[in-house]
Amino acid sequence: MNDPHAHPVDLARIHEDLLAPVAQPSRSYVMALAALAAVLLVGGVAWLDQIVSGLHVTGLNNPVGWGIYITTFVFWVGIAHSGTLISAVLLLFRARFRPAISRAAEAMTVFAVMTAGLFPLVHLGRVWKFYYLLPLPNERMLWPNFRSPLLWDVFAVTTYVTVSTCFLYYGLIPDLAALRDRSKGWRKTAYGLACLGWEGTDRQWRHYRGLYILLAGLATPLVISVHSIVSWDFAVSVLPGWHTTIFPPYFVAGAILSGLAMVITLGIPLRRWLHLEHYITIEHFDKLSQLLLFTSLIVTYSYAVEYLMAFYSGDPIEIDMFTFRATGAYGAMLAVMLLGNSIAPATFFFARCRRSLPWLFTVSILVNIGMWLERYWLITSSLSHDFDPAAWGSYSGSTTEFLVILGSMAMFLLMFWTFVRVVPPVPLSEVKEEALLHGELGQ
Amino acid sequence: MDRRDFIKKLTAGSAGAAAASCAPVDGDKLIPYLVPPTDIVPGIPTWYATACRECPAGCGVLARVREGRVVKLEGNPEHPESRGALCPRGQAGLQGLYDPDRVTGPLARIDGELQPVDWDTAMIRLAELVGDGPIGWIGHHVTGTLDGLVDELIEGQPGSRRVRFETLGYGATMTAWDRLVGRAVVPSVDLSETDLIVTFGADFLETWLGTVSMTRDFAASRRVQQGSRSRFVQVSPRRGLTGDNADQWLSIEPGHEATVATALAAEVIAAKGDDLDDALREVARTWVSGVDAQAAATAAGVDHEQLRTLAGELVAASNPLVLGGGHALAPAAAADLETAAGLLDLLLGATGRSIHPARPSPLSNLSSHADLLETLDLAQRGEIGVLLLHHANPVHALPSDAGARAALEAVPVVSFATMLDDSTMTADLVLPDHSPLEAWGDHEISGGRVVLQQPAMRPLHDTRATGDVLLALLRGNSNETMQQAVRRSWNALHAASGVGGSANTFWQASQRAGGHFAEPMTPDGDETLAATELPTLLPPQTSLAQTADTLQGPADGLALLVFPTIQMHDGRGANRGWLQESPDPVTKVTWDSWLELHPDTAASLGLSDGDGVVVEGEHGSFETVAVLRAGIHPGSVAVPMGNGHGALGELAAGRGVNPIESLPLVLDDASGMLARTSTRVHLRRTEPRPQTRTQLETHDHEREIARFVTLPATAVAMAHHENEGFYPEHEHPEHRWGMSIDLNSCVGCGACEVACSAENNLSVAGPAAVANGREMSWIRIDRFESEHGTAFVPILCQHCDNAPCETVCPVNATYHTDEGLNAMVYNRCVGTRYCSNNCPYKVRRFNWKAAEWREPLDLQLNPDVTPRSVGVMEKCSFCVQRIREGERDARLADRNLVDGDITTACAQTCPAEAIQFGDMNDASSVVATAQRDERAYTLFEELNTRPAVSYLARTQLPASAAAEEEA
Repeated sequence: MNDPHAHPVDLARIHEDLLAPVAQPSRSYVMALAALAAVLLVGGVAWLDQIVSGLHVTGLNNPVGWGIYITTFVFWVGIAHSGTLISAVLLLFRARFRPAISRAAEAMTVFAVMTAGLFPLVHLGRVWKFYYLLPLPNERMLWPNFRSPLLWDVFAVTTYVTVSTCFLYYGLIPDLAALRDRSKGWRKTAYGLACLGWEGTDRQWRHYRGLYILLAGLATPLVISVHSIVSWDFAVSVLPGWHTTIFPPYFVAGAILSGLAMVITLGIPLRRWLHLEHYITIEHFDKLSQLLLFTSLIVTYSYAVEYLMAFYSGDPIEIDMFTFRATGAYGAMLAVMLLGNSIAPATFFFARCRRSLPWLFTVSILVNIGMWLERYWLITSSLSHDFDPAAWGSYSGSTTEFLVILGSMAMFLLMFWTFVRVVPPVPLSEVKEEALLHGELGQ
Repeated sequence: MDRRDFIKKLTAGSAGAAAASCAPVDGDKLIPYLVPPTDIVPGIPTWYATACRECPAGCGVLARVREGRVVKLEGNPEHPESRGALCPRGQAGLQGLYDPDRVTGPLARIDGELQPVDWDTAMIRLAELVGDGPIGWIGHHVTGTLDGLVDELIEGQPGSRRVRFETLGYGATMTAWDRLVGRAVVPSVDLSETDLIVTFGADFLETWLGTVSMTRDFAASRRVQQGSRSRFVQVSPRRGLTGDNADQWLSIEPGHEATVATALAAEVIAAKGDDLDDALREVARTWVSGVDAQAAATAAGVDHEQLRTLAGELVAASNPLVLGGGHALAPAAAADLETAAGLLDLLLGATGRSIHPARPSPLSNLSSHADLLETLDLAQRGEIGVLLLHHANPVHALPSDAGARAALEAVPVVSFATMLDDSTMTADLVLPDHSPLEAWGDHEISGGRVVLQQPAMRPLHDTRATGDVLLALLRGNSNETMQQAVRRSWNALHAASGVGGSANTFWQASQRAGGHFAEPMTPDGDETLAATELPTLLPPQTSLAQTADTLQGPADGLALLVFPTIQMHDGRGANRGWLQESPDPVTKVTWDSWLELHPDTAASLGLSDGDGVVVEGEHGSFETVAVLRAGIHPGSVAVPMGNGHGALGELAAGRGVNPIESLPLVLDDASGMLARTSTRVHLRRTEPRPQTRTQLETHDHEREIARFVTLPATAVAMAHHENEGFYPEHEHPEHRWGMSIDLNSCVGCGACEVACSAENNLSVAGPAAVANGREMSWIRIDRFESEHGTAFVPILCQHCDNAPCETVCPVNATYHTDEGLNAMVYNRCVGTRYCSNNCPYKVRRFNWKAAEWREPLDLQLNPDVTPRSVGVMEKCSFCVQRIREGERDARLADRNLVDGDITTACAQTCPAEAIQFGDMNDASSVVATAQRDERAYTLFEELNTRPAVSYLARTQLPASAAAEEEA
């Protein structure tokens, strides 16, 4: 494992290695993208059908007004979290394992939050009136309801998209200039426009670094705020199982857990397919899995506290809810959740598990499944089993909903895999800087 | 182009666009009155008093007419029996008028097919078919002018037969009173003053006698006065909606009803001892002589001691009443059961006090099933040339063994019908009748009082009132119309009534009032029947001792009970979406038939709730869905009637099953009535089926949704939470609308649900949507079982002062008005459904798909209420359109609103007067008073939602009541 470290600092080689992925796409790559586009199209058609014929094509019903769509919204917003954590928070903390994975994490953030942002629209009864949710000035002084957590969501998510997009783009500028310098024809023009005339002068670098830190400072509170606000969608309601003060930290920890898992899920094939083994090393994955273990412990603690508080409260409705969540179909989901979010990550106490890529990949997939299921478990159980037993119901997703979800996943992957072939998937300038400062890559 | 040109073109263009957008597709005008009729002002409703014909009871209705079409039916407050209320069927009468599958013109069978013909052809054909030989008339219950016309037709053709047929007939009751007092009558019943009601299954809150008046009187007897109220005990194999309202239910084995009733009579005789009139005791002893009370109780599976206690309670009660099996139970010994029940009334002195054989119901002229079978037989043997059906459906009403279809196919059949039901499908000539809302008529109710039925709108289709057809047939070209004939009857009524003034004034007053309802003169003199009038009762037939053995079928099978429900009645309304979607009050099943069985029985058969189940009898089998409930004797299963039509219309055809078809043809020998409890069946499990039930959980999990207080104490233990709200308090400067629902009165009938559908243009979601939990009802009735009994809790939007839905809507589509309403702005709603998620009462309804109204059902839409589009949330508005109408009327009349000016559709139609609506700001209003009552509470008060709807706890009699009364 030590051989990449054996290399002396060879900036030219780093340059070549990291820009290599930005090349003429291979046939298999194009085919893969086409397949993803096809799945996206199917999802789009399913959504269109839902818009035309109404939400009866979903499995939603009277007590259960939110289901897979909102689950998936929360899931993608959660995924989006680790990007900011890795790029901004770790930047501020000067974590040296950060550069290798920051670009991928940031890109994942932007695309995940874009995907997430679709779902509040997809689940609307009248999506053609979505702009009612925006505080657009109008002559009737008709404003959205500023008391509604859904409106807070609108602000939280749009802020997050804006800041994380800025952050991603800003970090790209020197690399785009490097690409401009080695491109020809229209590509040169395009990269030239995109890099905003970057010349790499000392003055530019000084300004660049200052603003980068500033943006990181701005983005850091969002790591806490966005998912806290998303959690308020539930915590601010009156429903048993939703109305609880633990939700903001619980959701943030869960979000970072799922985000880290997704970074690993994407990072392992990225490293392999784009031949970045020298830059994204086992050391990086080791660090990531330590973080993942840490957040998993917070999440596990939250589960325990939730149950403890429910029974400690003595509120029969709350107790009934948590009993309901632990029995029947919801009990089975709880078991899978615990396996994915608590038990599997606990293996990362052992270094051997942290450094085995197949095991890492397996655990990351388990966490992804577990975290999606956690949101599903949490959302639909409270809705189907709330205050009035006569109004209890049940929910199961429909084909339309699954097609839309599949489409959204395809959209995310399509954007991500396109992105990593258009710009360097590992930040060139930062890796060079790290190498120069420490004489080695990564660690 | 200069400025002038531009403006010219602009105006031309916009005028063109305006013209294009106004041009109606089919040439109709938006406002069709070039010269408006003086009595129609667009936007202002006209009310016509007329009669409800959804069952034989003859309730009075007021039809609300807007721009020439009826849009709502409400009870006529002047009608002495229904007194302003309507039952679910009555509310749904409107959909009978606008039924898309109505017969729109005369049909004649040509080349084996029913084909449209014109009325001239049809009338010629009718005259040919009727000829001058013997005919058979099988018609539903009619009185008054039409009754006279039918008699005239029958009498004019010697050898003719007339069957006055109702599927749910009263033959057993008539036989019983004939035996008891020598009068074959259906007595009128008044529950309002009773203090102990004992029934052997009589479903007086559902189909028996007048649902509305019985519910009203029952609720009156239940009102708490001096710390007590009436007690109701039901002794039967199954407790239906009526039984659910009983304080005590004694489950007995099916087939033993008559013996148990007789045993109870024996106990009462014993308890009364010397208090009884000698002659009466002698007669009564003769009747009970064959029954050993102890053995009868044991055989029926009921504790003999309980029977004795009950007898003691009956004797101790000041105003007891005993009723028989009603329509819910039709055992083979039905007449014996009714006799025993009537005998108990005689023994207890209820006769002349709560039950009045001397004041018979007009239903007393109904024929029996035996009469019907005889006429069908005569027809089949060719002794009757033609059968005339008048809103009668013998094919659906009789077991297939009776061969009604074959009989109808054997002779020419003329059907006077509005719908192509199974019997009408066999007709050779279909003469479409007007809907009752389009026709003239007069209907007698008990005691000689008459309801006037007048048309509320012009006929929708090319139909003719049966009365007009008969007049033309009988009188040729005399040109007398049904309207004139009714008027002629009315003049006669005027002459007989002793009311002064001209006949014209009398007529106009009757038109306004909806009939002539003066207190009748006692028809037969003294109401209290002297014992000397009693005919000598023979001891019951031998069958009485071993009635259980009369059940056919395998000995190890389960007794099959076939019962009517409040919504479906005899099945005539099965094509009405409102009725199909209105949940059965007990099982909450919609759009389907079902099989009720006891959980223990189900466990032994390996059946669970929602399983498909094949009911296999010796005379047919059918498949339906299993519903497990403890309110049925473990030795029996029950299936509702009313569904399972082969025809009738798109919604009814092929829906559910008709269990009557699979019954053996067993008649009660004494009364000639069809026994609906006559066979044992086997069950076979099949695949589970989608549950079209609106409520599956029957326990409230100690959430205190349905609360009980034990009399004489009435205070509810309220946990008062004085929580401060997060947001500023709302101010209600003028009015704050609120509601009070008395759970002690609510019997769970579901009239409010249908009234709400009619008033607020609720869409009918259909069975698939209900199975997916997407029903659209704004008010639902939760039914909860507990050790205290069953409670029905109508749940609608609580119009919370601190509404969870309002804060979470991101677009302000739902907000609190300054009159305390939780308002919904449909065109602002984007459909996040967050409001519904956050509603603790789950009363919000989302439009999962676009509502559709098959023409001409769209004509029933209330023009004052916006139909909702797909993707928006809707919910109870407290009938805001009625509030606005009331406020506007008061303003125009330059006066203040007074309590009672405004009411909601649900409160208006409630026969039990359980729902009260009014202004909570007015401390003297009925609502404000009720909300201060000791029994008042709100749902989930710990959530601090501060609802505007409060509930009054259901009362429970102390467990020792019986013992106390005995002492």
